[in-house]
Amino acid sequence: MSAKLPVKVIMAMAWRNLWRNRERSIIMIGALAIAVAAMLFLIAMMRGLLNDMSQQNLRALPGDLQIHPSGYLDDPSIDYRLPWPEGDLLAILNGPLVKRWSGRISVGAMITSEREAQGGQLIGYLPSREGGSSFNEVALINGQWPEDDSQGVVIGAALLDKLETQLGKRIVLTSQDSNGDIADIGARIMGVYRAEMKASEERIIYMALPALQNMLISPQHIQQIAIFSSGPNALHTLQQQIIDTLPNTDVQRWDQLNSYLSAMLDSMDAIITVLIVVMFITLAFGLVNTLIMAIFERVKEIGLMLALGLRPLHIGQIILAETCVLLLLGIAMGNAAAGAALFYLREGIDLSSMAEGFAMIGAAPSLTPQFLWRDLWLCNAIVVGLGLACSLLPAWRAAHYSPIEALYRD
Amino acid sequence: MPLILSLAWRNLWRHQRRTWLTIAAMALCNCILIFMISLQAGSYITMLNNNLAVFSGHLQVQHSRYLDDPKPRFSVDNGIELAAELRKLPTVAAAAARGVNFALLSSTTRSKAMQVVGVEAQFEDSVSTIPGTLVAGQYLSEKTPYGLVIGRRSASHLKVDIGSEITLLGSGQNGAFAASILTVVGIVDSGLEELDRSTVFIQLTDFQDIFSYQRQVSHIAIRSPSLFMVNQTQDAVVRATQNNSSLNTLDWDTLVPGLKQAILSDIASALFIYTVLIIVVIFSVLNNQLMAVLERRKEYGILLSLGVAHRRLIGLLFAETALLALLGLALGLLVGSLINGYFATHGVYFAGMEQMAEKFNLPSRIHPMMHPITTLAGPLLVFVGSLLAAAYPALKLNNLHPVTARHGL
Repeated sequence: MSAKLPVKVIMAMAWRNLWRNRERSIIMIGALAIAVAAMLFLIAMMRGLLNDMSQQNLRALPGDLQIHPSGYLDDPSIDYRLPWPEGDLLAILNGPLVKRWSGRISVGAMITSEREAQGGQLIGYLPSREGGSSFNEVALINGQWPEDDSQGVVIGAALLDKLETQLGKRIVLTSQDSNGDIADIGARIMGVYRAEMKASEERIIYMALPALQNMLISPQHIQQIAIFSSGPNALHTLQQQIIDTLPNTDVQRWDQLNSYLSAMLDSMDAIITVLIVVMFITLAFGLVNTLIMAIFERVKEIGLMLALGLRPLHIGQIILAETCVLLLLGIAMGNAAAGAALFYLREGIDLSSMAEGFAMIGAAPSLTPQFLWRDLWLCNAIVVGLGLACSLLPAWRAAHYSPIEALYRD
Repeated sequence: MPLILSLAWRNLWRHQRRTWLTIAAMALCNCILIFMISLQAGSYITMLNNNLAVFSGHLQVQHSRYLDDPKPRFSVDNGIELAAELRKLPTVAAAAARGVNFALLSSTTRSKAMQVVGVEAQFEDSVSTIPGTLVAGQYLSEKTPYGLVIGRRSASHLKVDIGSEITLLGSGQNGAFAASILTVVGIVDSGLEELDRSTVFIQLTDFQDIFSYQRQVSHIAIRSPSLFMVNQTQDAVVRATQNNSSLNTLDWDTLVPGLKQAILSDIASALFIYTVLIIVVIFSVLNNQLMAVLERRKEYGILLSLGVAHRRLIGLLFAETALLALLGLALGLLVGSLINGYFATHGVYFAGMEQMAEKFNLPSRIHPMMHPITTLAGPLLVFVGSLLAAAYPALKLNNLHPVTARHGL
């Protein structure tokens, strides 16, 4: 007898063995499928939530890569400024890795109408550079967005209500100018927007950059350079290039801007792995049990095969192949079920009844699962890897039965 | 021991290894459930207590329109006197009146729009933890007229220190002009970044003077003796204020609706994981009992031929499953409680979760809550689920015919 059993024979025997006790195998495959499907689904939802939180965090001031003067992020004041890009930086920004970029100012301010006073945040941007593309997450419901030379402001519908004012009326903006003095200007409300998050609708006011620069006596200066890269792959290269060019600034990717979110993103893979492993260990007892039973009821038969000259290695191979087929069927069904559920929910799940809770963690009340192939591979690899590891001991034991004893076992 | 139990017990140990594996699966699942549920409950309670204790309190008495429309004109008349009355109620642990408004605060170099809160200096520490987080100077008192207490982050933003003067500009009641010069007397670090960046505290009487509130306040914050007694406290406060129809008594769930929803959404995702875990374990039990029935077909055939009724055999099967599940329950409870007990005293430390802790004002160590419900809820579900899992093998057993079963069919 040759020392090698053809793969075809091993697979055929494993397949037939698997279906000798159909119910048992189906239950095991079902348990595997449910666990895998649930894990994949949950991971996609967790990723979706985190992704959404990152997006919401950026909604007011979007940008794949953002340059701030160092110190600004801890203390967002007009004392921290950047000159408008020039020289090497301008060359990078106009280079192939950048789709578009712009400069902005964002400062805290007091907003006063004839009736009320509120705290808020003024965002000055250049409509000619990013109008209609950067802030498309907020929807203008009345009036119009500013032009570069507009003196007016666009405020949220919620703030409009709070201030008890209306479109076309004037409000007073008070902030601190670059000399440290109090600057205030009157500005006409030229537009009203709605945002997904009420908190930003109450706080954020958009206006043209030149008007804000004038108010703050800070011509040509900005506080943020927002860069939209030509693609996700260009982002890291671009970041490094800018760090080398502008040493004394904070250059951060969108996923690094919020320390809480970046910490969450960093620990996400670890959390996912722990979840899958815990789930698998619970599953493993059932799997090992099934295998032990399968071997136990075939002791005589294994004895006979050994007596007929099959090597222990062959027995082990057949049992491992059986486990393998069981695992693969389980994860295939699990993947299919998770895929179907995620496809069904691809437009997002409406959770507006929990809107305030989601707002508290900084997410919109609609959750869109985010599927990553990496998570699929990780989940499947862990299940197959640990599953085969669990079957090694039973397979090894089965392979090392003494043929005589096994044959006469009752 | 009744016959059925001793038979079930012996049946259980016919396949020792198989039984132990299934028990181990159940015990492990129970341990995970006990630990996770207790940890969650512990962190929710801590989160609620910490967040409500910082500022909002368990309850607030407000003008009935203030919640939806927080404007100065929707204020509580004679708030200081009302707070004093409420403080006397037996189910009210503490009460303090506050005024809330916005103003632009300027130091010599910086300006910032902030929320200004007027507090009853001698009572504020009974409803809020902020006075206790003083890092420099002193808290407000009679001895500090026109004094101001500011958060650490805002102090560094405005570049002020103890003794610095801050100019306040804003608008008060009925659009009146509000202006004042205040002296920084204390710097606090509340632990909630957002609050620390946005809020300053002055004495309520100064607040009423600056913002032309006369004898009005914005709300009265109330602390209940415990989170679980808020309803009783609310009833008492509602009764005490019922002759003033313009007032509303709101509980924390209404005041900070995000908190409960954030907890509920976290519970929902956790429940999903628990359900899957329990299903997986139930499948193990199902497989175990199905094997037991299938391999005993001949024996069942003989018993049936001898006149034993199907229902007796099914009873035996359920007794066996119950013993199996009970062992899993007992072992899980024992180990799970030991693990829980250890962490309840030592706390669970989440490495790299400081940001999360800060965001939700949690300590960096969380102590699981030891309570019969948090300990028993998961394991009992596993127990019931396991018994249900025996239904399918029982159905198989019910369909056995004495003659064919004897031949193993």
